[in-house]
Amino acid sequence: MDLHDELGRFGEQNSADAARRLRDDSSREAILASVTTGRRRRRIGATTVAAVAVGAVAIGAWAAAPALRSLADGGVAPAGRPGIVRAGPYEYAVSADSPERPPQVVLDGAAAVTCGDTVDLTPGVTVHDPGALTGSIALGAQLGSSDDLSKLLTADQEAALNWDSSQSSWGVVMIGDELSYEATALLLDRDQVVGIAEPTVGYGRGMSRVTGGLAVPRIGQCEGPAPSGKAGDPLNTVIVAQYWANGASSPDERQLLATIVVDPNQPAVVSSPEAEPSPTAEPTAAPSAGSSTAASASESLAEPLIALGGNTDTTALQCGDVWSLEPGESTHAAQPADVSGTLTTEFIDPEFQNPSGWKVTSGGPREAPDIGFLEGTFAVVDGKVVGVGVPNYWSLFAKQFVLDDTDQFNAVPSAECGELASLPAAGMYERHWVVQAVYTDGDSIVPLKTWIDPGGSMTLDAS
Amino acid sequence: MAGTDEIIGELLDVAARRLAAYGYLLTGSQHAGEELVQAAIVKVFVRRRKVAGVQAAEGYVRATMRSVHIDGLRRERLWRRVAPGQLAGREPVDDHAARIATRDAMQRALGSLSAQERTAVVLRYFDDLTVAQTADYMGLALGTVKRYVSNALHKLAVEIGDHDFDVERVTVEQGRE
Repeated sequence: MDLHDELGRFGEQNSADAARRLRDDSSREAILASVTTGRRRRRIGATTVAAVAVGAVAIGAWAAAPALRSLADGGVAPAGRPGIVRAGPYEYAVSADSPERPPQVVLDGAAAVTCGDTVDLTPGVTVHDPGALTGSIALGAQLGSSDDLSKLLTADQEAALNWDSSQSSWGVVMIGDELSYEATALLLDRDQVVGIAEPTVGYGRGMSRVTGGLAVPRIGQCEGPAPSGKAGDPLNTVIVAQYWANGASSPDERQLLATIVVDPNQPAVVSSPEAEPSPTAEPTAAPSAGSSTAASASESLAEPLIALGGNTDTTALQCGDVWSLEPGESTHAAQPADVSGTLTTEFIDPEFQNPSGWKVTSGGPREAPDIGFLEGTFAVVDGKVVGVGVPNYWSLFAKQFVLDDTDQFNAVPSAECGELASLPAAGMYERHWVVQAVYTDGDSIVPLKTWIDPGGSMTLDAS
Repeated sequence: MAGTDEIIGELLDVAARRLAAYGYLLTGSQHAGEELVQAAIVKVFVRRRKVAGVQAAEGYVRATMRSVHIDGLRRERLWRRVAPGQLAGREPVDDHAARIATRDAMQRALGSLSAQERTAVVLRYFDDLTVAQTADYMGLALGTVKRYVSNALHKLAVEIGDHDFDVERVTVEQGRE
């Protein structure tokens, strides 16, 4: 018997139905749709990675340049490299008072703004859809020296950005909840667009933040490679940031929620921290939305009280065990990476089927070992565990370890007492979450940080 | 996208049966094999690579199927290590088509193999990779792959009742490469 031939015969004999389904038009269309979506995500993802890397720098530079903030108090521009124009910072947030009207420009889709267009842009926030009011939309922007930023960039990042460090550049931070983002700098000759910067693009699940740097465009920088020559006058630029609801893959099908325009000729605008979210701060969810942010302050090292992996000395919780874990965040090891996370819970529907989301909002060095995250959910009645959710696991690999990695997990245990079962019978259940960051050390899984009930436990009525 | 559209269409017309068979051999399930084919095609074409025709595309897709499948096995191993008590429902489940069909001895024989053994046999004897190449693809030591292959051949021989496989038998002790 020739095993190769026998395997081939056997394989073909038993896969005729699968082959027929693969040739169906529906399969073909599904594959093509996935390819299109994948390419789009890939494009956005690649840009986002660059944007995040630069954004971290932008925030750092922002914080490290308090003199720039003096402009907000009516101060004067600090002395520095001649020719560097500084403006801002500008902080805007959508509020119930934000004017609602159709967009004056769009940055994406068939009608996207291009060179030669005449625009009439009003600085500040414009709402295009009521959904913007629940999107926690905010923008921070500042015009300053890219030289400051480039000190913190690697050579590769600098090369990728093609920044001229002797020129002014914009740093932007876009914040929102379940949104897609795009921001660019338009170079204007009066009301006509004569240059467009390479945009910062991103998307987020739950509360998210996209940061990036925007070089002042050159005259004639419209599509493709930028023309040679000096950048335009920074004071002839405006920042246009737009926010879309997630969900549609086609640019023209996305719901544009809001536009924020920043004009460097306007006085600096800094929101009241009590009233509006600060783009320089860790994003926090609206309390009424049922979201919360895990504590981000570093704590002293502590032994883990629970190990979701179940292969360490600490026993994982099982059905029948007493639930005695206090909510909070504990750090078990300071190395190799620092991580923090945000839990959003607003998407849980009454049927308990929709997942919640856990977002890693900051990470350690890119060369850190592989970091994994374990998520467990527990159903508790009368202080005892009656349901243990099948934990989800995902990992962040060293080369991909960037900000804003997100994963979803089942909000309600889909298992009871270790065996798959239907959801718990009607009744009142306390639901508890545990998220644990781990890394591998040889054959060991080492807990790095644990979050217990980061969003607060929740009692559910399953009736 | 027009070029991609055409080449994917042609690929499915010409090679769906071979790819589905390969997916089935790797996974042991028609549906899982079908999903593996789709995932691999998407993975290949999401990258805007130049594919010089359908034959080249089939080669890319087969190689990607192999990688995706082996990645899945690795994740499964990690799961077993990380959450040994929490694997309920994560075991592969035979699809309906497989259950109701009357299967021959080869079916029983392959069904008796572990996922790793099955993958090792398919890579070694269907893809005609060397043991070293198989070990490289699977991210395993040479000896481990030899053990998988040896065990698998033994099980196949028991199930099929044919000890006269026309293969280069490899044992842990007497591996030849």
